Amino acid sequence: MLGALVLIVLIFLPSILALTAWSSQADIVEGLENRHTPGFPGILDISSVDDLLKISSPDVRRALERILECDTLECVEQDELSSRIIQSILYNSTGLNVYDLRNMSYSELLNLINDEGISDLLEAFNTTGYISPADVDKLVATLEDAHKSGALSPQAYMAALEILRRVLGESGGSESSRIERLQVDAIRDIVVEASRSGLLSKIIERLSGLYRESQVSSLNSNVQKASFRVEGPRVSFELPGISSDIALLALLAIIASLILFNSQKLGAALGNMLSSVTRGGVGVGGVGGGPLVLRLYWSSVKTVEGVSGVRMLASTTHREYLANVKDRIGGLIVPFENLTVSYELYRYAGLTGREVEEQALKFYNELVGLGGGRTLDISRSREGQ
Amino acid sequence: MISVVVEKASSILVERDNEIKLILASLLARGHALLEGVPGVAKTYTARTLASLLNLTFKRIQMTPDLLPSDITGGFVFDQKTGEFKLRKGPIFANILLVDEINRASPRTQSALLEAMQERQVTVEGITMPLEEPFMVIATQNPIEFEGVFPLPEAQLDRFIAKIPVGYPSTKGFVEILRRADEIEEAILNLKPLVSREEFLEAIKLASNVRVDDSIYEYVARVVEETRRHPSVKLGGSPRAGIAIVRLAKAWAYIDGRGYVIPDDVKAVATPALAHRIILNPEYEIEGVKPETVIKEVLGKVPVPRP
Repeated sequence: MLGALVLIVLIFLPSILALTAWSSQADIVEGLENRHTPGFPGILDISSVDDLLKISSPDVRRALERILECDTLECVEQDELSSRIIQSILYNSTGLNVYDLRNMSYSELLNLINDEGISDLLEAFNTTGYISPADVDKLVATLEDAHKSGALSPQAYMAALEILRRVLGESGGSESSRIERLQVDAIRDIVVEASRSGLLSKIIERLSGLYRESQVSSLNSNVQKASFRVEGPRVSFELPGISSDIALLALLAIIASLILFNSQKLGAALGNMLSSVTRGGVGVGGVGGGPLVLRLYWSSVKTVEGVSGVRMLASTTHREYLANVKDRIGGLIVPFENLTVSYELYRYAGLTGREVEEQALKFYNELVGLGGGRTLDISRSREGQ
Repeated sequence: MISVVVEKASSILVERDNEIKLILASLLARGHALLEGVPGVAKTYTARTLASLLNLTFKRIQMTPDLLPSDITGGFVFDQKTGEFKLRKGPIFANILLVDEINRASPRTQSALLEAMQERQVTVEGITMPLEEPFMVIATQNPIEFEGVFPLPEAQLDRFIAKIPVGYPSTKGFVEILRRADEIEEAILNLKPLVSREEFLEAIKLASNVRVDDSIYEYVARVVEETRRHPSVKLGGSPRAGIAIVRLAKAWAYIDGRGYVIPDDVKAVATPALAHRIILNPEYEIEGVKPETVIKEVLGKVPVPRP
């Protein structure tokens, strides 16, 4: 029992430590606080197209560079391919075309917002037709928080920004360009998310036929950082850094696991653990290894568990289990009861002769025959031993 | 053979099947039993019935605070006719001794009795006399009395192989007792032995030879050890408790007509063998936790031998 516990700890400790290290990383990378997308690590370096995708076509490269560099939608629209890429990504990611946002009515936009509080707030601003810079800051902060927390869907976020942009534009506010930048940022986040999910590659493939799956290169990694390099469209990202203490602990645990894994003790512990799980391995009816009578009994227990829906707990004796399923397995009870007695004789009375085996097999065949299963003969069932 | 005794006794005593089996198992395991129950639940009848069916001598002592050890063991008295001191044997010289309300006797008398139970011999005036086999003490105590009693110390409770709770019958059983009260009394008085003393001694030997698989020993050890780890337990089961479980389980298997012990035997005897040996932490005791509850939890937790 103790051996199995140590084994489990040693096997899972490295993974747990690694996961702990991973999860303890800040989601937002320094300098990219305002660019974070919910559920996305926020560690993609998208400062250049080369870091996002390796594009062999100059047209597509230029289009993506424009997407990453532009601060306004009009800027993106100036390049037809950029515009098409953006439209495709948004449509595939959110079911929304950003250019449709411009043409949507106020009520249509409002319907896209899934947060009642924010809808009310925007409606209030829309009614008054005026919003102060301080209110804009607060509202933007609220929208961003809701978006990052996942309370506001990407569509709703975009729609809310569009309403805000319109309100500001109509009131002549100077904040409208800031909102437009936020819209572009949101689009860029969606593009980044699309590159992560492979959507961007597919869209580019569809648009230009440039993506070549065969050009996927091997994984490059090192202790602190790792990156995927993909020939053709290439996605590059970094794993979070792991502190040296945790890395050392994980390394030690891995080494200890490997040493123990090759030792007899671990082998025995594994064997015990597996046998306790399977109660004998695989052979007769999915339960095998070990003496025939035991395999037959535990196989029949599996059958009875399936029929009765009553699981045999670790602390349940075979007679207790028999009593528990007595009224639930109909005609199977007779062979199962007989098989239980055979098991008892073999297991506790020390009767290990062929007669007990043959009796057990007879009862087992009766049981599986009644249950519609495959019966066995003594020579075939002995092969599993 | 023994199953016939159980069957007969159960037919006379209403709803006492389990108690009969446990007392008989204690007897076969060469142990002593402590019956705990309020007055009037057939403790004496149960003991007397078994003694009669097994053709064993039966004596009864009603314990009182002024009872002396010599009242139990006996002593030398002066015979005026012969002018010599002669040994007058006390009631302890019997095969089955029913000690009623053991906790009413003074600690000195209790100790003398319990020593005899352990040693299976009595020393009077420097003369040591072995007690005839089989020898079994069936002691009773009332669980709800606190006035004028001397509770048995834990070390002395440990001498009893089993503590058997004797409760009230069900309503159905009670009605049957009311209907058959006279018949039951008469049946007990007229009981004929079903087994000779020699046959019973042979049964004790056979019961001790019942096969116990190594995995059963391990199971018993785990159960006893687990009682020590239970949070509400101050003092858990001792190795002697484990030995008691094994012996009782063997006797239980023998009564069931088996020559081998199965985990069910262990479960059947674990509570009677352990309950009086477990001391609970006071805070849990106040909350109403009972040793029986702890044992039940332990049995529900410790895995039985697999595969």
